[in-house]
Amino acid sequence: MNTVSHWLGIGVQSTLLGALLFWAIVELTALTSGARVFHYQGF
Amino acid sequence: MSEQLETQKKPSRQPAWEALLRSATQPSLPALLGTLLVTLLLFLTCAVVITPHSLSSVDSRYLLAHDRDTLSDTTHLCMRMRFSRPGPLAVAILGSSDTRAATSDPQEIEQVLTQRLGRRTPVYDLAVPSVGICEIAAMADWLGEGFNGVVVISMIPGRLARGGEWLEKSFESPRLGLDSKVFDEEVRLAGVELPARSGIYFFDHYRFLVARRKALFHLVTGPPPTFVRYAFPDGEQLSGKKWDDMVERLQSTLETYYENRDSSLAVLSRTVERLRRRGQVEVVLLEAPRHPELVGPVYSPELLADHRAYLERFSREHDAHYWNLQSEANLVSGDFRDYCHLRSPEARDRYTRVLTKRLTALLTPFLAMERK
Repeated sequence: MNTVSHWLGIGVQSTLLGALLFWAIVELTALTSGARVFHYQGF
Repeated sequence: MSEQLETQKKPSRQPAWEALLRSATQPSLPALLGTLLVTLLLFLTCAVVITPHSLSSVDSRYLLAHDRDTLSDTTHLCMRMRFSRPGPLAVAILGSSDTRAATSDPQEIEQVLTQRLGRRTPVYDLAVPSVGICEIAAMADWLGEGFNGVVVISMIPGRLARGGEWLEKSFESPRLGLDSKVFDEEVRLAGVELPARSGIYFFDHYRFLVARRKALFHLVTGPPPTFVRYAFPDGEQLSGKKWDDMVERLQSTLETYYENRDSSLAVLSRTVERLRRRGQVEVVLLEAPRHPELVGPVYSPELLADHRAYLERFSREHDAHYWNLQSEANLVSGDFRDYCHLRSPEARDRYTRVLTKRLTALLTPFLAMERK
């Protein structure tokens, strides 16, 4: 039972941290790549 | 001995929730590897799931970074055209803010054409702010196999004056999220070095996508923005310093007109040939409306005459049509906001009426051909 809980805990931690790391990479890429949404007058 | 046994047994007596909490909060090698694996899986999922085909079936509003994000809207429209097949007869307007300011809602044009031709004739308004010739080539590439009908390409002297340096900038912050071999080929021919391509949409267009990452939150936070097609407020006309700045900017753009015109028209020539290879297409080069007071200070009569003669010759050679509807639509200085944008709905209606009339005449022979 505890083995299952142990791996479940690791799974929860990995999912949360993995999602956070993914988003952090996306944000970092957005900040460093110069990608931006243009705002044009008239559009 | 008995004490030793007790110590060994201890962990198994730990409640399940406690074990879960501990392993969920304490750093460990499996958790680290799991974290990296989840991150990798998320990127792989994006690479597999986010494709032009899947994006084309999503509500376009979920791609909008804001309610005037024309670039997302046009990108999505191109994708829809590629995968949904526009039908037996359609009109595509490959233009910019000039065509958008000069024409009414495409659905209104579609309604009139449908009524006059007696069959549904979709009108696609593909506009990109200050569109470049290579972007026009990319949009034309996305029209889809078997596109039949009329392709209207907006022309303006400044558009032909742009060179390769402008393309380099467009890689830093890509405007359209369109995967196009034609675009890449044209860029190569322009002598500009292309960024590496992996062949995977998500990675090749990550700049376009990450710039719109927050649009995803609309899935959670509520309804996405509704696209605003046209945003110039009526009654506003440029004057004073703003007018002077515009004149100066236009003069500077036109300095390279003669230098870059031939290469721009060569791109256009290849675009027309590709369109013809794919379907029955009539190509119209539509000269954008031009503020009459700028003839002289910005556009010299010689340049305009030369520009016109050049495009007329191009049209003859490519069996295309060159239209300048300015006088037919009775456009006067008061109708303009600035150098090429119409400011009043009334002027827009006049221009649209003339354009629709011409389009009807051009589309009618298609019906006769179908009957044969």
